[in-house]
Amino acid sequence: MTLPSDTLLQLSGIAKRFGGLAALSDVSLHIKRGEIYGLIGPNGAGKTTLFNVVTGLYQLDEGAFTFDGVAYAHCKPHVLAEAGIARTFQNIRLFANMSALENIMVGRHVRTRTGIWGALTRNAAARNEERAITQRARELLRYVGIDRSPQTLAKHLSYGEQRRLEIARALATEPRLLALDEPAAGMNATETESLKYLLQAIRGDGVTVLLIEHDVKLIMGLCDRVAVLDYGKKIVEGVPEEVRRSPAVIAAYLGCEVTTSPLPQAGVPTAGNPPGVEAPAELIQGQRERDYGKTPLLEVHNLKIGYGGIQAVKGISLSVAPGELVALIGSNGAGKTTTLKALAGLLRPVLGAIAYDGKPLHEIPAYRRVRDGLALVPEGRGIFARLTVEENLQMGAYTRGDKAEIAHDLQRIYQLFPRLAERRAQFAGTLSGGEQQMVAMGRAMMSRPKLLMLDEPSMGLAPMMVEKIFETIRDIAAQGVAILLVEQNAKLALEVTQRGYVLESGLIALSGSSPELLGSNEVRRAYLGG
Amino acid sequence: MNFGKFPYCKKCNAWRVFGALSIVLLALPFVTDALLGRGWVRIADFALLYIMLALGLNIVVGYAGLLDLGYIAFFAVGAYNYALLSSPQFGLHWPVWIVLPLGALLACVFGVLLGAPTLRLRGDYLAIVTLGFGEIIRIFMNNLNAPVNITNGPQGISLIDPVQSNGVSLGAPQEIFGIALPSVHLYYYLFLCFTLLVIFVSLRLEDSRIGRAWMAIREDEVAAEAMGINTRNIKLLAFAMGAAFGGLSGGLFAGFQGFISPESFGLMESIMILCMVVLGGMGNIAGVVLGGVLLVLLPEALRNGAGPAQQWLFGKTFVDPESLRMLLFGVALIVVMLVRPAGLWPSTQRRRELSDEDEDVVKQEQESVYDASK
Repeated sequence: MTLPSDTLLQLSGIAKRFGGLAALSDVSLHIKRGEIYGLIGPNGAGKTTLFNVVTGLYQLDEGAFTFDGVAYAHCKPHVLAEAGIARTFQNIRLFANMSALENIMVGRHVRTRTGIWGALTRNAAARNEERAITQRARELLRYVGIDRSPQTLAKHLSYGEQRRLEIARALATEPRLLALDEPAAGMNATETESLKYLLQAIRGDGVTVLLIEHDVKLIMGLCDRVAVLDYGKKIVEGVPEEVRRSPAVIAAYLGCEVTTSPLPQAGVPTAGNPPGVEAPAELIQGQRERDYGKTPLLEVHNLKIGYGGIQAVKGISLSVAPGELVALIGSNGAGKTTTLKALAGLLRPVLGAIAYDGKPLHEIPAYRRVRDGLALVPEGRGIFARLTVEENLQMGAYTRGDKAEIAHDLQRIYQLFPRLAERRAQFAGTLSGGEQQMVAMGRAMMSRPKLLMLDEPSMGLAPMMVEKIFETIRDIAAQGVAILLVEQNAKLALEVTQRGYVLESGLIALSGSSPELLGSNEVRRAYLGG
Repeated sequence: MNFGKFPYCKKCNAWRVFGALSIVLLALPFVTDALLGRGWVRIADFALLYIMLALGLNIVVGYAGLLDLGYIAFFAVGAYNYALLSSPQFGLHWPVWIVLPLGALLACVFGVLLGAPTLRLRGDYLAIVTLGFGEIIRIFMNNLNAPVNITNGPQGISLIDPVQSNGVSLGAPQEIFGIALPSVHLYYYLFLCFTLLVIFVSLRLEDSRIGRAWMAIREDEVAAEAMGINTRNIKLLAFAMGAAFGGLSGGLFAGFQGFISPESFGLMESIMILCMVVLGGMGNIAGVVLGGVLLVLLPEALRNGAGPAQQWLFGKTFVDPESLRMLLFGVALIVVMLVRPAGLWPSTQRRRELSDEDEDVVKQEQESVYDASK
């Protein structure tokens, strides 16, 4: 086959199977030099599998791929990295206990050559190379916009910084093709915007970019061409305008529910909440929860949490009434997850009182809290990957002894998530992201909680799946379970809840009814990018 | 990098510490000899051997994150190499400057032999396989006395030549600059030199392209490979380097002891060395050295102290000091790991990180979107 000279990566007839499941079948596409190529599709469509094939982590079953005219099928990852393909990972895989600078320096490994002898003697060549590595690493750190001390350990960087550091590390390998797996996942609107500029700058430097992303707005605004995968097959390829109009895409990707705008999360204020409504002054630091007049199920007073010298939460008070739906929103690093962890007993607060069901909570260990009806669905889901779906759900009922009731509840969960009933015997680790989220929620429901705490349930999910998860959250609330929802997607969270708190640098900056918050200019500007 | 605002004085301090440390290390055998007796100089010699071993294992476990429970096998390879080539066993008396490097090289080869089939294994699985490897070597040494007697089996090899060169033997007292030095003192200085060499090599490797690649594999092997690190070669290199240190100290041990038998290379020894690494502070050279010193000294101190302490407290010996020793030793290990889970002296990076965080909190506090002025 003769290649057009402007083609950098050519995939022809790629197939990859896991057991009986075809993760990819007959996928062919080509990426041109210097373009930003987007890859979208629902969860479980095979996008990450395709990445793993192209970067050598998986060996393909059928087909072939060439990079810059050379065939590279069945090569080890380090060979492909040397050839000029660098990648980032969907669930950030930095070298957590190495400094930010060292992480990037590792990326230089493949372009440098000092061996044992050079390391021991530190001869001129080794010294020069080491100096060049350090200098380039510092440049890249600045380039991606991390203005922290270069010695900060990677695990102590904020989420957005970690994503950027991964990009810097990949760039250090001098790639010709940079493959990014959901770089905007978990970022707020402002961070996503600056990511967009970064990616444009990278392309400007002559690096071709292959991008998997669920943020359709980002993909459409950035990519030259977009391919859509569904069930392991490429269904559409073209410029963003064509793709967004394609009925096949709308059906597969956004679900049957075709709304006026085919692009959700586009920052359009919903009909019920007219734009431009100023937040009333008394909302700020307001204690409006008194208005609800019910005895709170959960009452938190002046909670302070710190670890390792950082004070993550600096004295917050909040309450949740029985059966109430409450949102806790805020940008990355505001202290949302920390608060939930403290409530679940996974972190010990420095100061403050938590009353649950009228009793002080701070003496009760984490495992007892579950028995008392306080359940957490952790960020990143935390499912037991090597147990089946059903075993995962049964683990949720670990604190209960009533067998008949458990069996009954299991059926109820399967009604709530029919998808899980189909896959009850499958290992949970092999499920797609959305299905794993369902398992995590189902597992929490199995403990019959009175208060369900959800940490970023929409993270890394396609719009259709997000929709489904939020529908289920409504269903759960309708059964009388109180819900405390932590969410990056502030708009979604405020639409589904009755009341909300806005957390900012460990303090509650705003609180009030959800429609009011949704209408407030500050919230919109900071979190919705409007 | 971050040496504060007065680099000149810091440098001064570093030289002062260096000077003081040199004097202490040089004077140590004489002081110990005078205060505690010659037996303790011997213990100091062993401490140095163990430090070398612990630093070697630190490369495999601390840097590359590969849990090796059979490390003592490389020590055995080095020791038997020396014993067979410099003893009446085969009537060979090769010079030490050939035998010692050969021992390190041979251990290197064994390191690669162990590493190659275990490349795909990690964590628990790797630990089991390496544990088996360590036992295989020991059992081989135990049984290689028939049909052809190579290792002399469980009786071990005796009358091994001391470390000697040009007619100067460390096995006998020597006079240097008018100072009479007994054999243990001579070995002390020899081992000290080798230990410093091993520390130097460790330091250089740690802060190099290779060292970073090891740590990257320890942190996330998949990501390391995706960044272009040939994980196979780099892991084998870690095994080989670690094994070389083991082989070197094995050779020194054989020359120093004059007698070796398979008994010295049991699983307990592997675990002891691993304890030194973990207890001292994995990945940190100073911590590993500290761990080595403590774990050699502590059992000896308990051996010598437990009996008299009982006499003094109760008037008679209730428990045999030998069995009490291991009990107290175990308790001490548990207490240290409870109180300092990262080891007695964890790597500097974590401390450096703590000071960074304080700045960040201040920064975060200044960055609130909801400024009071709005």
